[in-house]
Amino acid sequence: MTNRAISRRRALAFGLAGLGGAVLAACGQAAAPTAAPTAAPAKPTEAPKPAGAAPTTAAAAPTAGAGVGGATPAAGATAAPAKPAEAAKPSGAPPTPAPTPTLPPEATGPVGQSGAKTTLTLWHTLGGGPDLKAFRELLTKYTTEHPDVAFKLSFVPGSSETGPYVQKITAAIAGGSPPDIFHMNRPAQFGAAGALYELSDFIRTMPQFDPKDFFPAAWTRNTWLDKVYGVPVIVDSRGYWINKALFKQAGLDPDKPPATWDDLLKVNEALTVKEGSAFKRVGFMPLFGNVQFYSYLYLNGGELLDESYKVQFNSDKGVQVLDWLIKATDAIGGAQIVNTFQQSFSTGANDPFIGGLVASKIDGCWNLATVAQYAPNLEFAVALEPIPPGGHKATMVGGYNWSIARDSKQPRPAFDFLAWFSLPAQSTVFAQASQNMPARKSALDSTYIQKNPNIKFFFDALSYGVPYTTAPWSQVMFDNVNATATQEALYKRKSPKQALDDAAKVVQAEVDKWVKK
Amino acid sequence: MSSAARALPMPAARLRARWPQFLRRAVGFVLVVAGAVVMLIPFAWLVSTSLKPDDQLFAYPPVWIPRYLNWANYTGAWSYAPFGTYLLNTLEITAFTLVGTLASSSLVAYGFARRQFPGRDLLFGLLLSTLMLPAIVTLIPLFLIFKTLGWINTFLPLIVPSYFASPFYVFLLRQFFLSLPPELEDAAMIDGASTLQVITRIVLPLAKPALASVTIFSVTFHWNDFLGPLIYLNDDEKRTLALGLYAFLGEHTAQWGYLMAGSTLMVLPMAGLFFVAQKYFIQGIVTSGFGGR
Repeated sequence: MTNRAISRRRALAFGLAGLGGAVLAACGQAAAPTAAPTAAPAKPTEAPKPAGAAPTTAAAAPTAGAGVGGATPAAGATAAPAKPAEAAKPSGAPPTPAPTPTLPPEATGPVGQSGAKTTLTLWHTLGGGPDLKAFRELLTKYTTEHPDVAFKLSFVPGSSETGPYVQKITAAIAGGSPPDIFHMNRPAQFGAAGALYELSDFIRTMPQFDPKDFFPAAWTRNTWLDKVYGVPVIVDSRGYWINKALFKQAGLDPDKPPATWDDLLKVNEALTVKEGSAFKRVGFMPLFGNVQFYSYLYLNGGELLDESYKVQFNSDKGVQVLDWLIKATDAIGGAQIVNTFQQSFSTGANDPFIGGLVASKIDGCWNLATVAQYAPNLEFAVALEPIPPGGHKATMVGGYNWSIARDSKQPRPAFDFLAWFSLPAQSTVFAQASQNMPARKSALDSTYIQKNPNIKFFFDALSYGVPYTTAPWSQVMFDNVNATATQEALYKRKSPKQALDDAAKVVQAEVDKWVKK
Repeated sequence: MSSAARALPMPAARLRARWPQFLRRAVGFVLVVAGAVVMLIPFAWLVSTSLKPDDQLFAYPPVWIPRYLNWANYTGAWSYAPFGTYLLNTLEITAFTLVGTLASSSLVAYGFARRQFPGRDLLFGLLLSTLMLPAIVTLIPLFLIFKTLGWINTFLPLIVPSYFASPFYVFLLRQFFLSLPPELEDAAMIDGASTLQVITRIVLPLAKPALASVTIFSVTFHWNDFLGPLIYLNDDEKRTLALGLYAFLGEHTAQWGYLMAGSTLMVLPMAGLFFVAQKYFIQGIVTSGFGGR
């Protein structure tokens, strides 16, 4: 029967076509030039469009803000055609153009140029915001000054602390195909694990790169047992944020912010309004914002580990912190109510400080950017984090570092770039885009720091800042101290001393594993 | 309703009989509506937020109806990153994996459902046990395999595995095949049909509901898949929509309005698919739960 023949053929063809198509499709992606016909049109149709029809992109951009709209598509389409055009036009006039003006703008494109060109692959976590735009401009500046270097950028989504980025970078390192340069939030941990290139030799041979110019809180996050595994680029510090309008409304003087932990309790008395068990407004929640047990421990004059790597957070200083946290939490209804309330704001898309629901908090400098974008009229002030009797000023410092993969084929050019990028001329521009702080002390004189008192406040805070450790035990310590022990004490499942002692046992065991090595 | 009015003149016995039924329905209806509202609130919030101007995003108490409809979030989101490319990439991966899944999983499932061979049930158990492996465990071994094959930064690691059947779909289809009367296939065999013909002309047409379920599961999974593309794709222009959405959440900055607009756009096709094919969604769940005879 003809039917039979057709059906068999059809069934076979169905499967084969699928398989073949899939292979073709994927190959088309891998090596576009040859296998383009069937599946690859995705790219070819996409790329030429902006080149021929610049007006369409221009028309689309204004709504988003031309800067942002123009910056991101650079990944595949817009920027590449746009820049050569730029380069072509002023070719007669430019002050001192690089010998090959068409090369530098292709910072992002796959660079297959012949000659002794170094292409550095770089993975970042910048999304598509103003900081990416600033970053791209700085890369272009570098490739203009160093025409023998090109960059291949790749955005890896997700927070750098956990989740997607760490999964991806771990797979790439374990698989032996990491990028040359990548954003690294835990240089010490990854360095100790042997994943990162050790930079001491490079630093020794580059006298103009002075580690002492970096704030110690920024620099030590990149070191592990005297080895250097990263270069800090920008850092963040924290402070006490006040909603001035709410303070005034409650009869408090916003220019005289609470200076002690007792003052914070008074803020709550004056500002917290409840309806049943729900808050209509909260004066201050001790663990809301970017603040943990760590922060209070250092404000109270305590420390996490001493010089000989012995756990110290379960000292009297630590117990006092938990005692106070319990007192402050109970004063506004207890752990259950406070946690439920805080969890309703777990997404940043619903910041209750900006919404006027929380009158004060301890939080990081980057909120300056959030406020500027989403609540430009908010009346706020930043002040020192309140200090208990016998304590001293302190703030936790985190930051943004770049590391080089141990398996990088071109560590030297990679380091040269990082050293250049960390200079105030560059890092200040980059920091400004996200309202963070440059990591070098010598950035003090920049207009970015000098012009804005709030920025100046957070920059000065770096001098008394305490780094979030990036050591191999950092995650265990954070989880056991800031989460488990703190919550157990707040919920009164354990006494503060007991909770901290239990955490100390776990953390000390983890620390010993690494220190004995 | 008029039932209450009509109920009055009725004899007491009938009244008692009618009320409980009416009440039961009413209560059930109210419960279902309440459940639907709870389920829809996040989506409504998503859509509402995607249309808010920046200064209303954080307003408290939350604003449900924006001051004006800020469509700029949609145009802005679209031009923030090359979403046209991402869409094509996603469609490509989704389409090719669907073809592979349907072709391979149904063949394997038929084998497990109808063929007698030694160790069949053991093999099937083994297949099912792979469902228990968390994806994260196989992440690095798989990465190494695909790297050796030179497939990193291509769509191949995302597409090709679906041409070798997936345990869940095999299970789902096998259960459905088992519920079909084997007499039909016997009859076709007697008429001279080959096995392949029995599958393509008898079994698969009868298994349309199950295939539709597989289609839906496969499409939604690959449409939303994040981990796979994240691990295997490096170039910006090869990203999929699920990855692309993250462009709005940078290390230091977040574009919430754009993110909500982008998310709404990404959810829409799946919502549409659900409305068109919800019958099969439910059937698919029932099939996977109670199949076999």
